[in-house]
Amino acid sequence: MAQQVDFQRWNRQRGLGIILLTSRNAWRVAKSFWPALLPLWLRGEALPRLGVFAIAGFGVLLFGYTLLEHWRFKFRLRPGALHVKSGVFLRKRTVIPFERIQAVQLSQGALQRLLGLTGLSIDTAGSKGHELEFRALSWADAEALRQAIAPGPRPIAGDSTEEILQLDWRQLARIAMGMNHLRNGLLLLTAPFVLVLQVDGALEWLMDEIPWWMPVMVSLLGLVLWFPALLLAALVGMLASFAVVLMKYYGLTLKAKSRHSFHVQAGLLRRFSFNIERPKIQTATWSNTPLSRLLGFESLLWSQARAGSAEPAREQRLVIPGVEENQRRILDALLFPGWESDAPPVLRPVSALRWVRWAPWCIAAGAWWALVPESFGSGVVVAVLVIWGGYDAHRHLASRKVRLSDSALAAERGWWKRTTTMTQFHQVQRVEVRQAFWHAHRGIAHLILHTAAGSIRLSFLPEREARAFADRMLHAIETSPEPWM
Amino acid sequence: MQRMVVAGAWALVVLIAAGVVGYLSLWEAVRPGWAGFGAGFVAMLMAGWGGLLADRGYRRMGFLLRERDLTFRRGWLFRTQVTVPLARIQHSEVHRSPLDRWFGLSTLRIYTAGSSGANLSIPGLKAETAHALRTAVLQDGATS
Repeated sequence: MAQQVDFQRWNRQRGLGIILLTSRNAWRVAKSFWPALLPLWLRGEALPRLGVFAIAGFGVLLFGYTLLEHWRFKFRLRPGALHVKSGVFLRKRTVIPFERIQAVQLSQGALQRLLGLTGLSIDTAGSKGHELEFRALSWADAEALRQAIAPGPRPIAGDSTEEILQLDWRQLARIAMGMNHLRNGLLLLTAPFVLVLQVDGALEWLMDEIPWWMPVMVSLLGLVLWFPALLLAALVGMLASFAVVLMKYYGLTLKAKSRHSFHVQAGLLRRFSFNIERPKIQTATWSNTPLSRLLGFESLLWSQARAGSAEPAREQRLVIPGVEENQRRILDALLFPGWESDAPPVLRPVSALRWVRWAPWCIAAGAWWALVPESFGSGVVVAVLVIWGGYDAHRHLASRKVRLSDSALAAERGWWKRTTTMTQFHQVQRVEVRQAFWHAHRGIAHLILHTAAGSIRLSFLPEREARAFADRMLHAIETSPEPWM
Repeated sequence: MQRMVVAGAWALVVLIAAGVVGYLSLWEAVRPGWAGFGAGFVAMLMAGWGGLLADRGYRRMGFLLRERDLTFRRGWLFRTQVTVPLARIQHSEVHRSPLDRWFGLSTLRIYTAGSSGANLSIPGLKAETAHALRTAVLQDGATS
């Protein structure tokens, strides 16, 4: 299907989008009113007639609002910028210059696929979530619009699209295996109870409905069956992990276009297709756990520039799971030209960090010893806390290091869950050296590199090295001709 | 002059705290006992500590404008030194609180990409210094 819409004129989204908007608005209302509605429903009481009228009237009003909302949303392309008019009561005109766009994502949820619609969202650095979201375009229109607002690099002869990663069934299964099943399972198993208990009056209702011997039996069984219960949780969690991974990452493909922009697409029920140019990726974080190391893969997180919040919004990070060793090498080479993964570490924390990491464990052990009556068992607990704390501190100290290339750095930390955060020097926005009074006397300093996508903390460095490194970074930032985004 | 204001702001905070403690101790003093003396002693300790922090903090506070970056250092108990390359400045702001206006001072705030608050804020500048510094910083940022 070819592009149908002339973007130069004012356009509305497809009419079927009203269904999407209606369901979204209904969901929002339901979300804010559910604590009031649920007890009524649980008790099975009939609503008074006035209540029925009120709800029906509210529904009609809401639908009218939704129609207006759809009607008022118009967009068109002008040279160099996308113009949008929107809003029912509060009317807005938004202008998004093309060069300020960070990334464009096409997505199709289950309902959208059913209706043949496509969503398109645009990220800029000035918004916490998406700057702008279309819900109801045709796929062809959406692709044409993306091409128009974010054309990407012009293809160069002999330097075309390169496929880096494509997940098949085997790899999907492996990613699912590498997830934390116990946590997922416990979450799943406890979620219904937590939900039910939160509703006012639901507990009483439960008490009335359930015969008196049930709780007694359950608690007796629970005493006997705690191990099978944990096993059950793990099993349920494993199933959940498989389902989640399949839904989210089915058919995930990562391609590099002309070594300059990246294209990611995936999804079973909810499909998405994401384009981002290399300079817009502010930090890349590799992480792996013992389980994923065993299975031979790790996951990659890309963060773009964002406004405000310390934690990146869900929309502003892209996770690519299941990257294997050789694929990581290719990606590192594309993202950070000249990167050598076995470069010797240049910065390591001071060994005093060991005591800082160990202290909380020892304090916990001391508290246990003071509070719990002395016995052989509590002696064992204290010993385990102290020894484990010491081991953890030792491994953690050894795991922290910074590696460099000519233009990029990688900060590694963690021994159980290992993460490596990488960024290019010129993408650092400001450099901060921090130390407390007692650190200054011991020659210790923390170095914090702030990027537009969050900060990289290199704590407990020798002060002299930290300051020298800060100067080196500043020199690199100030002499680099490259734009940071 | 600037030093006095920074120290004065601290002293004010401490004085208010001392006043509260003193007021409470008056209640104690209605009944004879040494509780009032104790509270007064604590208030004096707090005032002394506040004065020490203000003095040391002021001595360590300062900014440095180089060709391509601006550095600001502050704090004595907890020390930070932030450097912003001029080419990375997004926007800046000269802020004056009522107390600042009383003493003829300004705070220069400088923002970079990717965080909500001011990333570098220099308090206690004379109004003309603040404006001159801002002009210098923005011009250099635009040309480099």
